[in-house]
Amino acid sequence: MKTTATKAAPVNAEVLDLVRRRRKLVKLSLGACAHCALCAESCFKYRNSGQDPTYTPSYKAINTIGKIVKRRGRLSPGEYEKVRELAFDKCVLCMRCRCPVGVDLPYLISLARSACREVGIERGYLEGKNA
Amino acid sequence: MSLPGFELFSLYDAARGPLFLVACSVFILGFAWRILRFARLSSSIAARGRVPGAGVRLDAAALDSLSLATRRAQDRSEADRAFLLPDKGIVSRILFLGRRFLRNSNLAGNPVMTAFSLAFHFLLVLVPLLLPAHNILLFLGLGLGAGLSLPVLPEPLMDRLTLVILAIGLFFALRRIFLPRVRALTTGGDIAVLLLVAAPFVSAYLAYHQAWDYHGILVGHMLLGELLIAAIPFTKLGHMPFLLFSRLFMAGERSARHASRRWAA
Repeated sequence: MKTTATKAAPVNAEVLDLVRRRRKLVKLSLGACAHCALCAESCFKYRNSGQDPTYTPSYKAINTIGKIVKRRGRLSPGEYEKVRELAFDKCVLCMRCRCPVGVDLPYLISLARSACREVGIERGYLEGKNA
Repeated sequence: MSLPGFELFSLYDAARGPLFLVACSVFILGFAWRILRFARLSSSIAARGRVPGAGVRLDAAALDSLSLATRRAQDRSEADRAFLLPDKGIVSRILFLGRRFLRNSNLAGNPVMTAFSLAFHFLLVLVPLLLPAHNILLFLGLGLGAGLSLPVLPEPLMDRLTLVILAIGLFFALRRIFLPRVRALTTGGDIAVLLLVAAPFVSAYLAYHQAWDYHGILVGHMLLGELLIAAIPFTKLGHMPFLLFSRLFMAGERSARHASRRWAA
């Protein structure tokens, strides 16, 4: 789904429900994250992207589900597009990211994917823009 | 003109007595709250007998396939199993397992960061605990009993170890500033907690060498230390004591529970 609009979309009821159910869990997980970036090198996408910091697993979790939960789902289509890029294009959910403090990063990113699907955003297979 | 009774209950007396107890109480209660919250949010698949969220009841074989021992056995390739046969000799088997452990740890990927990190966190706890002056305050000042003390190390050594802590803290700060992957994650709060950790050690170093206003720096050191203790459960600093719980109970390929625990539905 390609969109350039930046106006905040009306909050989707399903996203709001997901945020309500997982809010404490996401806050607890991301609260435990020490922002050490030691997870970066466990991500093959990071290693093969010229060490682009946006591929760091914790960066992806914080800027997808972290942002969705913090803003209670009130993201503009443009912001959801950025979430889509991080959660679908920059992560393949191979479950190999290693966090020294034990944060379940793949689970957090999978939550972000769930939120995206609820607002009709999926991986853009046919657009030739997968990283 | 001083207030009546000010000398009897100065800031110094407050800092070494009641404020210290308040800081410790806040730390203990806050930490207990975090553990309870964590326990409520995570639950064992084995205990519930189902995959949370999916609503699917697992049979005994499926549950067994999730157990730690089974997963570890599955992880071993045929070649590994052949190497671990007894006829290979105990020394080469230990070396093989050692190499495997190192390869899978942060020590292999980030040896400098891992070594500095371990040293920093151990010293952060041990230096204040094993300092003679702190032991005197703890056991005599709080009336816990004369003659009682934790093991102590000489103060000149502690002075140098304080510098080691500050040097590693500076390394962490530089890492946050100059490494793009760390800079992308860094917030103002991360810098603030780094400063909060460094502040009691800087003031301790100045107080030990009696630089500037000794009394003022000493009281400042005590207050900063108490602020640090109280802030641990409620800030990013919590990753340090919380590490044991997060590593033990969160599911993951490399966690101690080896994906045998999942978040509750």
